[in-house]
Amino acid sequence: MNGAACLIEILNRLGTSHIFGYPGGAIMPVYDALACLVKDHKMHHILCRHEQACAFSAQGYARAMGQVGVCMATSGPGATNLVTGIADAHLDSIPLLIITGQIETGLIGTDAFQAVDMLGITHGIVKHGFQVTDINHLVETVIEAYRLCTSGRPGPVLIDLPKDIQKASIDNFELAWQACSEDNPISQFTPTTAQLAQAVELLEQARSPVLMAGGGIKIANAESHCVEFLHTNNLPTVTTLNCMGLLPMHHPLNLGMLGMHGTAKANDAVQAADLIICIGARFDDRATGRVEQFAPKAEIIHVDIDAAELNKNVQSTLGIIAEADIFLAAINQWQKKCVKQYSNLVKQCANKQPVANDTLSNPPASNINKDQGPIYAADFLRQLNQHTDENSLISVDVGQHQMWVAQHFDFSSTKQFLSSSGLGSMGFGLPAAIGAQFAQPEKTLINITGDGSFMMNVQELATIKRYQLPIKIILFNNQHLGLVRQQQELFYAENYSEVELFDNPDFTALVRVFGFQSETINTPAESNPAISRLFQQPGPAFLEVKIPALENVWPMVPPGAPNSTRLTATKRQYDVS
Amino acid sequence: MFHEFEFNTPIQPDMAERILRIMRVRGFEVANLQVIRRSNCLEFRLQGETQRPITQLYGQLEKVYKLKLKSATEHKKSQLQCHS
Repeated sequence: MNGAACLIEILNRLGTSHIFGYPGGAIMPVYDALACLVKDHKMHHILCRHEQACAFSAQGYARAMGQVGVCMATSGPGATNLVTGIADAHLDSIPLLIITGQIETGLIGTDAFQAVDMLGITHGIVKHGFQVTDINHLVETVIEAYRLCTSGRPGPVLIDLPKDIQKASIDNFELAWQACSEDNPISQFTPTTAQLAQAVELLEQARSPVLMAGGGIKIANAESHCVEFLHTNNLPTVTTLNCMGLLPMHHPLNLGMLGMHGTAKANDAVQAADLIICIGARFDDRATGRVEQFAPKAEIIHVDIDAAELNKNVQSTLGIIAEADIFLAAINQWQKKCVKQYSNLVKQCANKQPVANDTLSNPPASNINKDQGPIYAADFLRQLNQHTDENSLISVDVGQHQMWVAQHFDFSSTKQFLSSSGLGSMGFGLPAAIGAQFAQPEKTLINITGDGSFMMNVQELATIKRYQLPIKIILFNNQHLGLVRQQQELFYAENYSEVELFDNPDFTALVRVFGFQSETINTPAESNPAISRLFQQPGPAFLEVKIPALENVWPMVPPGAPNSTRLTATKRQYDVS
Repeated sequence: MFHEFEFNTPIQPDMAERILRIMRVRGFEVANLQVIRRSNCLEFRLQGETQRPITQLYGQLEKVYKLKLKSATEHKKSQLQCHS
C-alpha cells in the first residue's frame, strides 16, 4: 500500500463518504487510489469546476451534516484557490479537512512548477497545518488532523502531502492504524458549580437581562437546552447571523438579529439591558456596532468553548469556558431549584410589532399581488415562506439578499440557514448548496443569491448539471453590487464607484445553456405562481427576480457607530422611483 | 507594557513562524526572542511589547497545536528595564 492509498483508506475508515475535489499533477497518486473506492461506491468524489467551490461545497456538506467536510486539490494554483474557503471555515468554525498535493520533498524550496508554501499561506486560517515529510508519520497525521477538525472549537485543518510521500510504500498500515485509532478521549469543557452559582445570581439580580445566542449553540446542537433556558427565565433573546432560527420569528421572546442590519427591537434591548448572557458568540463588530458603546449598562456573562474569545472584544463580568450544550444543560439543571421570571422587558417587547415587521424594510407598505410596480425582496421572501417548511435548507451568498433573508425568512431551525457569516464570501451560496444537497439529499436546497455573488461561482452550474441536483436557485437582480452601492449612497455622498452591473448576462439564457428550467419575473403578481413552478420542477430550476436597483436594507447601523444609532427608510426619505 | 512568555513546542520547522505571525496579528511587537532546541522540544523565551492586555496573546498562543505554556508575565516597561 502506498501513501495515497493509505490516506484514502483512513478517510474511509473515519467515515468520510464524500470528497469535494479537483485533480492535478501533484495529487495524481491520491486520485489513482481514490478511483477504486469510487468505482466500488465506497466513496463519492464530487468534481467541482473550481477549487474554491470544492472548499465551499465541503463546507456546505459539513454545515448540513454536522460532520467533517473534506476537500482536495493539487499543489500551487489548486491549493491557493482553496484559500478563501479555508478562511471562511476558520471564521465560522466549520470542521473542514483540506488535503493538498505538494511537489516532491526534494524539490520543495527550489521554486519548482506549481509549488507554493501552502503551510505558510494558511498559518492564519487553520487550526493547524501538517506537512507530511515522512511516510511513517502519515497514519497518525491523518487521524490526528481529522480529530482536530471537530475537537474543541471546530475549524479547518490542512494536510499538505508531497507527491513522493503519496507514492512511498507503507508496510505496517494495520499496525499503525490500530495504534493511532484507539479512542483518544476529547476533553470536555464544563462550567464549575461556582460559575453556575454566580451566573444564576447575576440572573436573579438583573431587571432587564437579554440572551445573546450565537453560532456556538448551533455547532453544539444545544438548541433545545437553550430554548428551555430562555423559557425558564422568560428571557428576551437576540441572535447573531449564525443562530437564526433558534426561535420562530413571531415567538414573543424572539427579538430577532442584532447588529448592523438587526432589528430595532434587538438592538434596543441589548443597549438597554443590565445583563447580557452571551452563549457561543464572539462579539464580532457587525453584531456589536462600536464596541465601546455596546450594551453600556450591562454586566456580561460570556460562555464560549474557546478561552481566547473571553475578554477579547468585550470585557465580561463572568467568563465561562464551556461547550454551549454542556453549560446550558448544567444551568437548566441548577435552575430547576430557583426560578425567577423577568416579565418587564418581555411585556414591553410584546407591545411592539412582531420581528418581521419591525425591520422597516423599504418600502413599509406591502406591494404583494400588484400587477405593476416593482417586486420588493421582503415581500417576495414572505411569499417564499409560504412554500417552504422545515425540510428546506436555504443557502445564501453575501450582500443585500443575505440580509433580507435573515430579516424576513421564518426559519424553523438553526440548521436551515447556510451563510458565510464571518468572512462574508460572495460566491459561497451555490457551491455550499451543492455540498448540502449531497449531505441531505431528501431536503429541498434553495440557493438565494444576488447578481454579484452568483457570477463569482457561476461555473458550478455545471456541477449541478453533472450530478442532476434538484437545487432551486433564486436570484435577486438589482444590477448592482447592492450593499456596496447602499454604503456609497449613505456614507460616500452618492459617489457611486464600480458598483453598476448593467451589463449582466441574460441570466435565464445562461442557465438554460446548462439545461435548467429558468424564468424571470418583474411584477409582484408573478411571484407566487413563479415560486410554485420553481418547486414543481423535479430537477434544478432557476428564478430571476428583478428588483429595484436602489432598494436598500433597513434598518442600518452605520459602520463604526453604536447600535443605538439607526438609519431607517423613513429617516432617509428614500425614493424608489 | 512588556509581556514575557516561556513555552515549549514540538520540534517543527514552522513553529517560530507561527508564533511570530500570531504576535504581529494580535498587535504585539517582538522585543526579544530566544529559541533553544532541546532533545524533544523547542524551548521559547519571548518578550513582546504592546498596549494590549497580556490575555490577547496568551489566549492565542495557548491554541497553537501542542504548545505548552510555562509562564506568562506582564511587566511595565520600567520594571523590565530595572531587571535588565
